[in-house]
Amino acid sequence: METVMLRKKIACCGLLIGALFSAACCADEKSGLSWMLPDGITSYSQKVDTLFTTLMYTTIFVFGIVLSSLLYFCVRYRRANGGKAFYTHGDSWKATAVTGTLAMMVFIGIDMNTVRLSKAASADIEAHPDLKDAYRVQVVAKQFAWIFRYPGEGGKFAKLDMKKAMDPKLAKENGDPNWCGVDDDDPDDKNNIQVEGFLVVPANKPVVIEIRSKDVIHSLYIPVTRIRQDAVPGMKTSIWFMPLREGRYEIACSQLCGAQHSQMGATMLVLKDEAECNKYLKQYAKQ
Amino acid sequence: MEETHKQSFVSKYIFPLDHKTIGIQYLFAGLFFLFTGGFMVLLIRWQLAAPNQPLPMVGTLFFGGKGSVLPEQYNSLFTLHGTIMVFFAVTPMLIGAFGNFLIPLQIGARDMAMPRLNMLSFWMLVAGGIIMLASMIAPGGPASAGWTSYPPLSGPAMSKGHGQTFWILGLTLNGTSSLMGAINYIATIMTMRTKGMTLFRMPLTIWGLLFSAVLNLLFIPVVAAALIMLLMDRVAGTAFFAPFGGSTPLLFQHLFWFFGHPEVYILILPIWGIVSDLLSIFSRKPAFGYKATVYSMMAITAISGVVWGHHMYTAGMSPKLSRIFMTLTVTVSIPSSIFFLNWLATLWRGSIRFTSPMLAAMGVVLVFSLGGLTGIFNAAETLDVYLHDTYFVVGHFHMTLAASVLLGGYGAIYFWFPKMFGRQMNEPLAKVHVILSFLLIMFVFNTMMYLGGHGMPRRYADPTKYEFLKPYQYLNVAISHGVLALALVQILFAYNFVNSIFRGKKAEVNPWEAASLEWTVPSPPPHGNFGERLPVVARGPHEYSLPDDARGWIPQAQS
Repeated sequence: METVMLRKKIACCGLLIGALFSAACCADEKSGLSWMLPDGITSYSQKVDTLFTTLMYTTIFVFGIVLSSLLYFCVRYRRANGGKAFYTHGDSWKATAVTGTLAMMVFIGIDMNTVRLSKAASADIEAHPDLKDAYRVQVVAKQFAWIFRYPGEGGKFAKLDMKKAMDPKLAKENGDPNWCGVDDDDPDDKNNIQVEGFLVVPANKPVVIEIRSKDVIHSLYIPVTRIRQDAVPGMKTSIWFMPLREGRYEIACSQLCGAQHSQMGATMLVLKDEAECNKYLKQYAKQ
Repeated sequence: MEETHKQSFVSKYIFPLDHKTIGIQYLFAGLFFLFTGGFMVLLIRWQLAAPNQPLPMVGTLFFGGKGSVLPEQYNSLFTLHGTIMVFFAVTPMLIGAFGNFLIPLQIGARDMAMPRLNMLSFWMLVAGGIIMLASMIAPGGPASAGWTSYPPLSGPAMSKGHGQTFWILGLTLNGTSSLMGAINYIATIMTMRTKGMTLFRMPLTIWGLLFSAVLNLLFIPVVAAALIMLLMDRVAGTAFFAPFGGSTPLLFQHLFWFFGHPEVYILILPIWGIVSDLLSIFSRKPAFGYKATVYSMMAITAISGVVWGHHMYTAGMSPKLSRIFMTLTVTVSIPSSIFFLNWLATLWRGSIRFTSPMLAAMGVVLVFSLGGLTGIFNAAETLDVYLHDTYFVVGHFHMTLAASVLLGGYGAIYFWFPKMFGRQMNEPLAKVHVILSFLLIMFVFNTMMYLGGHGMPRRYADPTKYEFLKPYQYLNVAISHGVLALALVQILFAYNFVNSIFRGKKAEVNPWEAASLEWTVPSPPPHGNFGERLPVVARGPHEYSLPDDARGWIPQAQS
């Protein structure tokens, strides 16, 4: 009798987990309920949100089972009159097989599915369109602001030398707190536009961002793109994304960088197209 | 062997060699730091709920100026909160106190393998703690680079004060203490078990402590190396973590997290063992799948060493490497599910006694399941890139680690208090404390995860500058209220603990009807533990509800 009950319970669990797995496989960006996440603006963000939503449902479901089992056991098995419980060590092959099977079902249904959905999102990044003609921006993080550099007319960046920029003697000589180690006689520098606090990008075009740091580790965090990448001194890291919607969005620093870490925000402006961006940036061009 | 020397006050209570006294020393030290670290949380939560508002009455005393928290002070607060809680509160309480007190008693030994090393390890912890506290008033300001202390922020150019240096020294001494303890625990468990106490007849508490000690032994040297390299960078002009010249700040992160991930398992393995035993004792039923649980804990111990990269998905590692770490990280779910199911199966068809240790153990079952599930969000590389360094992570690790360790630690104290001090605690008060703590823990840390999903970064002194966070500031206020309530509820425990030590009713030898060896000796046990003859063990530690036995359960040692 007990074995039949146990088998039925396992079967029910199996069906539910199976149902969840199937539902998760069918989850797509239209499954709504991104719960607590801010609206995403890229196709990549949709994939991340799908994973988040799936895990939310899964967590609530599994925790619900654990909680109800626990409460049920507390009520059903509270101290019996005789005081004795059902004596078993649960060391039999059958018991081990049952727990092992349930553990594998959790692993396949939840963990492997999670890996699958995460890789689907990664694939979105890896299947990047030809980035040769992408819109490029350089970001240099410093305590406590974000410096954005645009190529400007001619489309070429001056060479940055962060080692020079971080040298206290050279930095003092140069005098500009936002100096990124650019040579004074670099021909491309006169066209480059350097702005503090404004990331200006076009909609519907891939944007490639190179990230560097002038002092400590910072992290470029753009919530609506679901992207975050550390700015590590001595390294150049890169990200790319394609915003699908115009608007004004916030950027925050996301790696403890000192006293004003929480004040190191910036704004991302997604404008209609590259021409609009160039028009906007003209006000910051060197005279 | 039993020594009939007369001991002075100093050699009995200040520099004791008796593992039980050392264990109680660790308990008091741990509780002191638990309340210190907890007090810092109140100051942190004040700033988050009321950014830049002066703290009434005591603000000027703590922060100077107009009495509000300055950003650099805020950074120091969460730095020290994390460091103190992990290394000076939880480690001494769980590993130092319960490891020391229980290991010889539960395996049938008279003391640890190396009592002098044991005593030294405690005083090394105290030395580390004093240096850590001193770092708060060191010239140049306390450490403020987070408990993770990444360079270059923690390096010589960016953290110029002495506080960061003291922090490194305090932590190194703490690590040395843990290393000594680990050696002692492993040696004792492997060589000093009494006759009949095979490895698979040990209480699961000992297994948890054993695996925890193995991880300590293997991984503390790595973080010690990282810390000493950082120290050298700070004071000796080396450039281990410099951005150029062949070195990289990323090296510190790898070294730190190589230890840092096993560290969280070091902290929680004793709790897993304790909860497994408590669930068995108070369901009056053998722990379900004892061997499977042991092997699962062993597997988790092994896996914990190869997943550290999941703390570094955004750090600048290759995405291919990140995906390898993701895959390895999720495999831990298999052994975790197995021993978790064994917990539930222990309750199944039990005869449940709702004592305060049992309520605490069941609380751990719930918070750990929730915490573990939210770990999957963080294991997924692409999702973690969004959630990293937000309050989702803060909520996750507090739910998984802090909540489990706190509830489990309280359960352990309620359970072994009679044995340690020979007195009973107030049981109804204990139950109220556990239930209220559990409910508030669920509220506080779930709300944190919700807030993190909205994108609120961690380590932010003032989040109100951002439009995307403004609508959710009310959550910070709510969390702060919850934390305040949680702190006040701990007064119930503090009162119960102190009052019972002096005025608690005298405890019997075995008030909980438990079968392991410590419950066969007087409360508190005498020097040498077991009288003239060591016990001989005839069976496992969970022989409850035997169907054919009139008494219902049989203690481990032959009666």
